Amino acid sequence: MAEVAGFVLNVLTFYGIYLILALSFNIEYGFAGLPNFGKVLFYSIGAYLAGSMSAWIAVTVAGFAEGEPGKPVYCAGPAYTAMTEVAKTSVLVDIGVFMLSLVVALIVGAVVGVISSYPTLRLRGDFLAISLLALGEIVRIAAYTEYWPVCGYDGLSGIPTPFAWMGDAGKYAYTALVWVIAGGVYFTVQRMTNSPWGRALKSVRDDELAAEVYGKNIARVKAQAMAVGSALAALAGVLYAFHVGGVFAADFIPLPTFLVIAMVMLGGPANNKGVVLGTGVIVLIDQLLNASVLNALGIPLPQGFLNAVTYLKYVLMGVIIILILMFRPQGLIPEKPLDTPIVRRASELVSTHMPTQQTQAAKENTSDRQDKRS
Amino acid sequence: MRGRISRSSSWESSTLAREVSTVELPWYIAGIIRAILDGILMGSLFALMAVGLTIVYRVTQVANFAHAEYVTYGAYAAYVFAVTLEFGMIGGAVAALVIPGILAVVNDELVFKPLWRRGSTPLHFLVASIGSGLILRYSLLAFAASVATEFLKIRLPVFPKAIYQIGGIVPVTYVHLLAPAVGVAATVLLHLLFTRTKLGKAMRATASNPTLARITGINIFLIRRVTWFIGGALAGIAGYIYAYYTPANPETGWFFLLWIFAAAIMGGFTFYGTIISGILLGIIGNVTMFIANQTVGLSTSYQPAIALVVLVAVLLWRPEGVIRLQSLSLRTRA
Amino acid sequence: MPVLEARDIVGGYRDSVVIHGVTITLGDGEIVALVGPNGSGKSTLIKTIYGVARLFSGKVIFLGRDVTALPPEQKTREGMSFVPQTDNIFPDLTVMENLEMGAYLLDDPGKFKERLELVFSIFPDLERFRDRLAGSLSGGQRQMLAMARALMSEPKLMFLDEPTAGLAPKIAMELLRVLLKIRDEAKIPMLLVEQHAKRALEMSDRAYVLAGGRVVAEGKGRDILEREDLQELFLGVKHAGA
Ligand SMILES: Nc1ncnc2c1ncn2[C@@H]1O[C@H](COP(=O)(O)OP(=O)(O)OP(=O)(O)O)[C@@H](O)[C@H]1O
Ligand SMILES: [Mg+2]
Repeated sequence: MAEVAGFVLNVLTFYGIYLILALSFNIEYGFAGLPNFGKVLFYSIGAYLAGSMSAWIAVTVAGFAEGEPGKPVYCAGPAYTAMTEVAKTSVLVDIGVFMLSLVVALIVGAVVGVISSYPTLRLRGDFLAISLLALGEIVRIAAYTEYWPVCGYDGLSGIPTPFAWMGDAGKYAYTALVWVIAGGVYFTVQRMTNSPWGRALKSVRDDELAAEVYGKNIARVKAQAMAVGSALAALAGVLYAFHVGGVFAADFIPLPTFLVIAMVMLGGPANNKGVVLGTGVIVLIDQLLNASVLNALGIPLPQGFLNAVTYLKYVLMGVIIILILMFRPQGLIPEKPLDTPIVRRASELVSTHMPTQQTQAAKENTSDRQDKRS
Repeated sequence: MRGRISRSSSWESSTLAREVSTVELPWYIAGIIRAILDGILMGSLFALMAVGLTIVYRVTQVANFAHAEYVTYGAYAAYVFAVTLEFGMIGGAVAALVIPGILAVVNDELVFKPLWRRGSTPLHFLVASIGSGLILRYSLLAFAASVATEFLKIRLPVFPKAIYQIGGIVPVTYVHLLAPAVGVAATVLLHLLFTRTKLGKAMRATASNPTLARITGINIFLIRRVTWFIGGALAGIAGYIYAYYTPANPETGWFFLLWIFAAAIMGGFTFYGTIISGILLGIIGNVTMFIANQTVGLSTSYQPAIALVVLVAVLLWRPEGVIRLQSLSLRTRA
Repeated sequence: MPVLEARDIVGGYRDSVVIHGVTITLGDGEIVALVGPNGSGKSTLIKTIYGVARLFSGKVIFLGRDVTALPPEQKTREGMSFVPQTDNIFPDLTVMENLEMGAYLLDDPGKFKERLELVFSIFPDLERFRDRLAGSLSGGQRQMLAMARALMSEPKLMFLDEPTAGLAPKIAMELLRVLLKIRDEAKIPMLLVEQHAKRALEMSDRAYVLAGGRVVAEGKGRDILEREDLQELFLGVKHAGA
């Protein structure tokens, strides 16, 4: 039973984290048409900030100073024990580093987002996606190689999590907290995307030229979309770091981005409700198809399958991505067309009025002529 | 094993070179010569891989993330045919051409052609190719992890012997000659295909203006198949040569992916531009890494970042490519 | 028996219908003009008949055979030929290679030589530029190349979508004279869309007037030219005085 509870808790927490990430990707890709395939970069920035700041504060509070040469002090082996001690005892540190990380990650995420919007002005579509993906890889390689900020390829673990002082109950509290934040993000994103700003994003996505003609500053709209998207992704990264209790640069390969793409594509680009659905499905598959989880849940399966199951999971993800594109590119819950008075009026004009007017005129012409003849 | 260079250890062995070289060449000269030799080898392979990506992109608008998997499958096809089925190294080479070629055609028929018919955008092609890549890479891994664990890491049975030692310390192996030779042969053959044959010209015509190609009577579906086959086959043979050089695993191709894209993008998705960029990237990658490693102690794990930096810089600075040879075909980016 | 009979064509793009049931026929050696205001669906009609745009319903009979369902490449094999309004050359191929592609379906090298000589005799400029990239040609030269390319396949019927667009009046007249010459020599029927409606109506044997995706008038070019009610529909908008 404990295994089932642990699994459910884990799924729920990842659901909340990935929901924020997928919503942020939806703002960029779904609404603004910017394929930010470097999503994992901004996610990792949040995690690096959370990890390094909380670790540094924890070792400082613990008075731990025997660092190893060439590494941040918290990367030394014994720092782990010092940090977990602080985490267990100091409520103030636990909650303080969490709050601080959230704020800093939102700010840094937004700033990096604005900077990274430069490629969106130069490139579009597939090449924009490739360049952002490459940027993410550059940062991952650097973080994996250098001890700064998260201890390179050793990784950083044992950082104080916000509810570490509560013991086992902390896990439940953290899941609840993630969902409070994810819920808040969902409603904020819903409001933003249904506002005039959301329509500005869509107009840039659908026709940059027209949007520009109608006085939209394309560069600013794109930068805003990237800023909001990246700040939210960094926020998700913070939640991830405190869920895992550590940060490993090796985790930030492009795969999480691919999962997020699958979530948004499956649920429905430019539809936040769809993204909630798509994220749920993909997270469940991602968490369930895992040898240790399947073992813990007591599901009897042949060893050969268990050895291959994580790989088969990604095969399945690939199949899902291709099937959606082929059979339902609008996603499970498609985008709703804009429905404001002016749009309705315009579409009436375009779809019915204009052609009939023209053809009627033509008909009249011919019938006139025939009349004259007869 | 003597004279065999594994990529991961090539820098460490330069320390070895330092000791021996007191007798022969200065160690840094030896190191640079070695970096250039390895650079030509890897560069030839990048060129072989990237030129397929380029022609496929030109003809079908697919920026194919699954292209790297054809490299892996080439290495594995060669292994199965040369080792498991005992067809020898020539049999392995044929398999490394044909199997990835067919795989690429099937990939197009099942995924990209249907998407193209329903009017998908190039970005959707890219996403679908990521999906295809996941399927190809991870099904091989799943197979290796569950059924055939010897597949987790493969080696071809014949090791490339050192045929000459430059200055007595820098080994030149068969592979150092084989890779550029195959690269040159492929370039000449493709050049002849594109300039002398009706089929090759029809491929260029389709890349240049697909609708008009249909109107002129070109069977663009046949052209698609030929294009994908050539792309897959070139990637496959590069995978084979790589596996001949150093052990391969199911993720080998994936690690080349961004090098391949960097070469194609630097070459502006032109035929010769891509080939030259591939070779240059191989040399630049190895030589800069060697120099940066020896002078400022930059870790060798930054080597892939060189490709990435080139890729991003070219895309932002000159998205149309840096080395664009306009003399032949495949010229403008759509 | 007409060479081409397109009956009740309903066509357009994806999910938008542009042509609402059009019937046209082309007889032996006829030059038929297709005129109408911008956006009336002239290009779309040809594209639909050729299989490039979407055919919703209707029938295309070519030389007595039902070719409705054939894709464009097959229609070319049957003997049709088409000069599109835009993107009508291969810019990345040389002039010579463009012409070779035009003759893609001719297997006989002798035939190819013959056609090439014919085309060069009509457009001597092209011979001078045979090794230039088509993308580097001037607008007028491109139009000539497009026409030449379409002639290479030994067509039995030609669709020409504004072949004189963007050409200087003198060159445009030249090109139209060439068309008449081709018709007289090879007896190839042509469906000609022309910017200069007046000119097209004058030189054609018959004409269709298209508006809003429907045929609003058809008959002898001269008759249509004289119809007052149609003047403003197309002539007023365009180069009435040209
Ligand atoms: N590729 C396309 N997709 C969707 N609609 C199109 C496309 N091409 C043209 N249309 C629409 O079809 C209608 C007819 O266009 P078409 O190009 O056939 O007109 P036309 O008579 O050839 O005009 P012109 O004299 O300007 O060449 C127009 O309303 C146009 O917007
Ligand atoms: Mg037109």
